[in-house]
Amino acid sequence: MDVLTLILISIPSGILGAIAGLGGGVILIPLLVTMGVPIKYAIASSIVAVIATSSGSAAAYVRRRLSNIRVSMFLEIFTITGAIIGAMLTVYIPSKPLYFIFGLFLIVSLIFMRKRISDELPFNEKQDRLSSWLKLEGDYFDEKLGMMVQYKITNALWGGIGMIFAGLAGGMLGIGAGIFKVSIFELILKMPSKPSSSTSNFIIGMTALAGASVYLFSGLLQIYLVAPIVTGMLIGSMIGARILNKLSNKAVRIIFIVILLYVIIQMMYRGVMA
Amino acid sequence: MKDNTSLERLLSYILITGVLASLILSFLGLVLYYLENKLRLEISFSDQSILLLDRFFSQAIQINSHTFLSISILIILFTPYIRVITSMIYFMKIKDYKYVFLTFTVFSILTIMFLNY
Repeated sequence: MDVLTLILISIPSGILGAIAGLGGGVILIPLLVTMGVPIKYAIASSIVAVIATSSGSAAAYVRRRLSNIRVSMFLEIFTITGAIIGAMLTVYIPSKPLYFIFGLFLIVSLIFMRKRISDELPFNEKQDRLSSWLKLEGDYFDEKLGMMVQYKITNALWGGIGMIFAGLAGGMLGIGAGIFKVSIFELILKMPSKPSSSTSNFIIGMTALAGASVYLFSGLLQIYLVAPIVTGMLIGSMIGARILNKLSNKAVRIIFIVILLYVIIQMMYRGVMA
Repeated sequence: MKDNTSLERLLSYILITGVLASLILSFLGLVLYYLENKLRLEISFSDQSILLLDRFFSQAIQINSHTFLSISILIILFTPYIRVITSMIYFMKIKDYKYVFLTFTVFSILTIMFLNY
């Protein structure tokens, strides 16, 4: 295994991560393990790589108003709390049932996401009082549609509870849990696909930081492994951020569903093998 | 809707600065690694190649791949933390106290977590 190979395999993970709103860890970890990297180093490197994807893509998304800052700030509290509790619970809870519980959540997401596959934009949602009080709304210019899109978030409280669950999944499984976050944005908060992916990308950096600090202080970050992966992920995420706004919401959702399906299979396999 | 444009621009600059600084240092570090490693790019795992904060800060700064790559990784790790601090200051400046509270909560959780280590 050499530095160049690590950079090259990280670039596509960064591109896909930036487009689908994931950190890319779910794609990267199995690749690294296949290449002979011990699992603990693979997970630790991947969680730092998630921060790289998040920062690399969010730099562009924030400027183009695709990432919603207020929604992020509100939901970060829940997801970080969930991530910290999740990391602490990992010691006490066996991993086998976890894979099935989180896998089941993703299967439900898949079913609902499939139903919405051809909705280019969500219908005008009536905002609840909390979402309105927190001014959870936004607009962005959609390059594919060639128009400004305005949207309003609803179900803020349920979204917050969902983010605790996403944080728990991230903390317990050692991933950024972007796949859970995007599902919550789209299905509970009724956010359009592109802001969902880009706001998820913005938030996962923070969730991953909570996890990465554990690995940093535990001495699991191998710098000659982490650095090329971070380099590749940064390059990939910057490319991905340029691609996202040129795609239709439907295309973004299809890419997400394909990755979702892959993660469900991976999670069930791990559950059976654990 | 309250206009967040200046915050978005500010956060974008912070993220771009963090990303570019990390990329440049990483590139330089990897070039140094290539030279130190007798023009080979293979990696191996050892205790010496682990990033440890206390070891990093207790040693004198040396110009080698380990130093460059460690700083590059630390910049990426702390970029989200800096953007929370920036957001908090911004919301204080525009007197949006709801979001001062929210960002302060995130900042506090992260800080307490770091201090616990």
